[in-house]
Amino acid sequence: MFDTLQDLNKSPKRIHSMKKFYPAIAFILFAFCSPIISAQSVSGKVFDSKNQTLPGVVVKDKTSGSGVATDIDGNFRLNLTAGKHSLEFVLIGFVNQAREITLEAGQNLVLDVKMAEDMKLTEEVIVVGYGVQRKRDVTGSITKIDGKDMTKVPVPSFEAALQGRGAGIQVSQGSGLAGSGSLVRIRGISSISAGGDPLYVVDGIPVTQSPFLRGNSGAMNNNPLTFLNPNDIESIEVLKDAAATGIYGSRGANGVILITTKRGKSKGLTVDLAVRLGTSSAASKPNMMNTSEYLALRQEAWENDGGTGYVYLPGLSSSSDNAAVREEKFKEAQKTNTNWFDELTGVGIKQSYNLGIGYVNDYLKLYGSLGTEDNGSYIIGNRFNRNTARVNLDLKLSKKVNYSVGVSYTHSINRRVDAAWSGGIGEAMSTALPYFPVYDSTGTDYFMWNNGYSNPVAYRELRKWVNVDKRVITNHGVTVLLNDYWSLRGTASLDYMDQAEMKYLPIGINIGQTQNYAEKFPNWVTNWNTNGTVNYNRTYKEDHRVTLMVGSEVQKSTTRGYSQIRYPLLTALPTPSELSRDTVTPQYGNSFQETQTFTSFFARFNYSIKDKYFLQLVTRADASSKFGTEKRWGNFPSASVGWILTEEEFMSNMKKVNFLKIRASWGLTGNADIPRDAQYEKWALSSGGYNGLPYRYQTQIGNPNLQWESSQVMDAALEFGLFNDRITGTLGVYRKNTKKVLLQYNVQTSTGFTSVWANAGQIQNQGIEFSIHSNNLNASRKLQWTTDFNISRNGNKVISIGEFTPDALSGGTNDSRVQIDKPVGSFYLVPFAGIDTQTGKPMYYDLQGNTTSTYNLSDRQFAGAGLPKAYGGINNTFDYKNWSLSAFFVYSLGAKIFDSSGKRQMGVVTDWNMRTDVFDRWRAPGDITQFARPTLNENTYGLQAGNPWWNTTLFIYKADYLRLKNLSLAYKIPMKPESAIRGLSVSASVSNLFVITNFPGLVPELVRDFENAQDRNLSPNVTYLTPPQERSFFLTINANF
Amino acid sequence: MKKILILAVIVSIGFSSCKKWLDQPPVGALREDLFNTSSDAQETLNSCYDALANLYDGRIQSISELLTDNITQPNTNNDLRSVYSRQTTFFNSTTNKVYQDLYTVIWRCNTLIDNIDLISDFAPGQKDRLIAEARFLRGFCHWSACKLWAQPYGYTAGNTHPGIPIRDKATADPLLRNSVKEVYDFVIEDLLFAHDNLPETNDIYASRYSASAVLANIYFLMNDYSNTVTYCNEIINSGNFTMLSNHARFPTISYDMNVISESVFGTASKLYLAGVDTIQDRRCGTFVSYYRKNNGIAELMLSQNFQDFIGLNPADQRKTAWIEEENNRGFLAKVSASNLFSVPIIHLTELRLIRAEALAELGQELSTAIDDVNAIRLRAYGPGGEISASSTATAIINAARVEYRIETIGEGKYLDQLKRRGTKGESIIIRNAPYDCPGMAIQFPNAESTVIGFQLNPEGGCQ
Repeated sequence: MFDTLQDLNKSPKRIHSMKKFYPAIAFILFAFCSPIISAQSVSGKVFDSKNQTLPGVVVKDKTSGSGVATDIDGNFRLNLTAGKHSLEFVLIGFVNQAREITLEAGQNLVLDVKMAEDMKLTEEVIVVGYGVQRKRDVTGSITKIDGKDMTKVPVPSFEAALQGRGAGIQVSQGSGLAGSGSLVRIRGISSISAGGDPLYVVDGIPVTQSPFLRGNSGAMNNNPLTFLNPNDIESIEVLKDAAATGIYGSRGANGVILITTKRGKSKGLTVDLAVRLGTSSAASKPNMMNTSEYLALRQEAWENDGGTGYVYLPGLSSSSDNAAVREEKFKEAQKTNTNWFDELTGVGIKQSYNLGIGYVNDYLKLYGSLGTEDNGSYIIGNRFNRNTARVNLDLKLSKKVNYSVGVSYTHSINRRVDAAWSGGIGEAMSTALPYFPVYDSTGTDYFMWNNGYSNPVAYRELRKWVNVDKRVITNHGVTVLLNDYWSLRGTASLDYMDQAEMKYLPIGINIGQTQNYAEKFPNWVTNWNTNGTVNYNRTYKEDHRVTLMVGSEVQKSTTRGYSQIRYPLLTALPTPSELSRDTVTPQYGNSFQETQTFTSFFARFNYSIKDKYFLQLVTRADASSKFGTEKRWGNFPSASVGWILTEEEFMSNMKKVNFLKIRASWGLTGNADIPRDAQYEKWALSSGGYNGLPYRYQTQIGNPNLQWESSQVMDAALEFGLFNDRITGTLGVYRKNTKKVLLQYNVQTSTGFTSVWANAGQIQNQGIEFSIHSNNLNASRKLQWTTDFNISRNGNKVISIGEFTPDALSGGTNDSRVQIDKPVGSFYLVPFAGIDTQTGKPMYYDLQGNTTSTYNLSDRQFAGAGLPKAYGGINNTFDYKNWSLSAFFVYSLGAKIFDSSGKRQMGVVTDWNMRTDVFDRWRAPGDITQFARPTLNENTYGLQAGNPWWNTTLFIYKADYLRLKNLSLAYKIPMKPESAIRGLSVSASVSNLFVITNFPGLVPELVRDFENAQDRNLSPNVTYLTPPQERSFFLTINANF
Repeated sequence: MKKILILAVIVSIGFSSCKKWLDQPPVGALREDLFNTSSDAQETLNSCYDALANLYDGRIQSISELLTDNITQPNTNNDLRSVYSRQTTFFNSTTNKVYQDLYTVIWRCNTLIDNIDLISDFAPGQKDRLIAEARFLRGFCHWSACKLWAQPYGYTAGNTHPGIPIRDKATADPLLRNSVKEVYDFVIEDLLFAHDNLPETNDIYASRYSASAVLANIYFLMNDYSNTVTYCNEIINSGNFTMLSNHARFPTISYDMNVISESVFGTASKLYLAGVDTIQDRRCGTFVSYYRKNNGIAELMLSQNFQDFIGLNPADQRKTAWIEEENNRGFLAKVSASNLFSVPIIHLTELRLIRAEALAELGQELSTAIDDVNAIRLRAYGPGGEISASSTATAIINAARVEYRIETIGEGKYLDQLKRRGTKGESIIIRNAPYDCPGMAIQFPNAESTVIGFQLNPEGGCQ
């Protein structure tokens, strides 16, 4: 990355500059000291691992103390006395080399030395936001993930691949729908109504990331992050504490994920080709009843309720029908047995092709890529197709001016199907009863029930539904080196997204529809960002390094769109391209436009002494258009310190500990991820109201006092390297206290409104994180075994929510509420007390803990939390010669799942199909069972008539799991050095092969569709007919030229 | 130094232009743009009627009707089944929305009342009329909510039992429930103001007689018969309203006639011309979708109890005019199937019946009371259907009640009378449960009770 280089160039002590800087000094220092050529000498060249000569290497004779530096071509010559000498070759950025020599009198020994680059953590470079730092200098909590890890598993979008890769990064992969997003939480959740997602910054641009640009149409939140081709990712840095995120100020409270795309790296031309082919199938299938099972259970319920004769059947007969009609319909039903899940699912095919080209010479660095991916899910008719192109170019315009440009284009088509509450396999798990046939008696027309408007197969086949997204991101950067210390950098970027959801609806799809038509829901998001920084970089007296960066940033984002564009009177369905040209006269719905602006000033000061004591001060002032004039500006300072103990004398004896660093930080971060107009009172002016007259009315209650949510974050960590870095790791602790929490509370209905925004309450997160990397076997052995392990424990607690009852803050329809002293994302249900063995009726606990047969919503109480207490990943890799085997597990402990659809699948017998779990039901006095006596009458279970939604803890489950996320076997085909192919490897992998869990439902890792950010924060781990994740087998071929 | 100065200038320019740049109000109206002219005020008032018409399209009427014994258990709608079973919870989205929409009207009226002083270009009398209309609607909606979400007036001696929150300003201040007495006092104050400030005629909007009609009904529910008679007399004697000669109370409207002659206050659908196209503004959809027969069934069908009741007198023409029968199911065909009719919320027929009952209760002007009853009976049963000119007060009351139940079928009024009679001490049992069992008061929405201390209604107790 170009700014990486620029920043480094400013620091005389940083890696790249070493090669330039040290030769000068060393040359000067030692050239003059060199004695005149005497009788004996040692001379030669120093090379790096690629056989490039190394200038500026200090060659020192430890015996005599004399030394010399290699010249520009890596040559050295040292005149020594005869006898034994210990030579040492030193160059920062490389591993020191030692040589013992014995010089005969008059001997001129020629000694060529190869120096390996130091790959230790000490020299690793970290992207920190508006710059880079050496990893050893970093005083904040940052997890770096290699881009290679992003492509190991085929994921709908890259963020799913972060799962298990680092401590403090909690990822729940989304459903099996193609292109679905994941739920990412950095160190828990500290927001309630404002977005709890981390900020995503791609090559310095905070990109458009809202999952609610399309609400949850079709029971799927859109995922703008799919635009990024994982093959283009060089590295990902996850910033976790205030020291790290502070530079992003108000937007850093939920962590920051910095994505750096690839840039030209090695000299000359390189070509990388990657091909992947695979399959997708459902990781697990629902255990819905077949016809005979369902009819038998329904009949039993009917008889339990006192019914005689045959039970009435939804869609065929009604409770008011007489016995003869009921019998006839019952017998008719027995003739059909449809497995709707099987009708709707199969094996999806996945394929992806990626071409990456790099070219580097002295003046430019180029990276270009083309990628195409066709990602079929296991749901028939559902596939995500993505085509990407990217060019990243860095130009050295002069010795002092560098220019970089990046352009990426993504065109994706998501072929949609209904899911969950919207239909499709959601219907297969609910109202698509097994006695409904796919086709009616004609054998070709679809059988439609529910007044002629239900049949998920018919919907899939008759309706066309695509999301077409086009996105361009372009950024330009100029760096000017003013002198040895000062430099300027300016960037400007544009992130433009054109999204269109299109549907083609033939007659028969909607009630009352009399003509075929198409509809389009377009929106356009334009996101401008520009920033400028002034950088100062200086080392005083060798030991005192000072870096200062002062900058300013402005951002403007506009979303435009139409509520709907309707294309009426179509006799045939148009193609997407016809539609986009508007070949038919469209009817436009309401247009909308929203703009937000954002401006900031920020500064970062770094000071280090002797490369072992580090101090960082950061401050950022942000102003957002989301807040009123008085509350607009927020200040977010942070301070952090680091100390590398292994640089101290007293540690020099502890040979086994080669690196030890402690760091600590304190800071404020903020969150303003709320709707753009939350502060405003809104009014609508409409025409054609009552009596045909214009009318005006308020549509939103405003709050001009709305202000930043702010978090105070403390963090401390220990980083270590043992046995010459065979074992490295980090142990960290943190506490985050969030105040003035942004709340969109349920305002009293007697306002006529549903919600109002306010700041209130307090949330605390604290936790501990541990990660370790170990080379388990000696490096000299042919078999290599490395283990990566991380674990994070997060405790989350709502300290207060102001003057509200739990029902003031709810997660959509998900029975999650904000409760004092409980984690954000806790369920609020009537506690289930088992089945009365005598009556077979369910029992509940009231608030006093007494059992009761009355189901009373005022007895609802805390019923567990959806976010895990601990989670992490374990990766083991075995390398033997050209073979590599890796097994990557992820795990989660302490979370609860609320099966919200279980209320209907395992509750009162209604018009839903049920799960075979219910077979364990009460039938006679004395039966000890999991489920109550089957009934068609809600009152039997103490529920209110008309309310089969059984909000009890019966449907709360432990969500502990260990999942083999990826198992992969790779083989590197040996290539002759003269071959045009530099590398060729083939790997076979399987994702989601198995999961170990006690959860009786589909999969223990869930992200359902959400209504808004608050629902997303409060309702993790709720399933409501959510499609299970996919299992995929795939083959990957990588070739490098 | 020079550089620093230049930088400082740039930064300060940046700051000053910042403020404007950071103001990004949503596209649309801001309060500053809203209350400038009298037409702005009129448009705000229009929105109150607009919301009311979407609520009185059968939605609120059917909730009330479901609590009587006039109709059967709803066919498929679970929310309505909860109402019918008198087991509503605060998760009932149907009743919650009705409650919310009543307060939407109230809020919009409050925005007008709160801001009207910002406007100065009113024609003489216009401002008072606008306020009076707003207060009429505000009072009416509070009363409507109180009747369904609380036990009736008279349930406790001092009416100290909890009613509904009184929202008299367009602010989101947390409110607890006011007592029923406080609610009735507030409502009557609003309506008396409206009565004194509204014009005698006001197109399809609230007139002075609309206020009289609501006041008459309120006083009747309070068993305040003399005030009932006073306000009924105002309306009946005004000559502005005439009895229908047939039973078409919800007829399909035409371009030039959209409100029936009996309607003292109501909401109107409209058929009007805009350009070359005919525009239909429907404000009656829920009546049609709930009551009218569709594939041999309807969501809400007439109970056997009511069918038997209307069948008691074979001469009753309303049976054929209003009831459709198929497979032993009774469908209310009183509302036009056209989906384009206006809704009289208070009409002359019911006012004459309550006047008759009030006069009989007072023991005054019994001949007027008998005339009132007979005006309806003659229309319903034809000549010979009248009650005797020498009928006793009790006979008048009984006759008026019979006609009231039949005349108002489906209109969501009968419940109020059952409750009123209950508070008088009559034994009123509705489908095996007393008129004041806890579940007869609909549960408040979940969000309403998010204010600490808000008292929910007790649930159940009506089985």
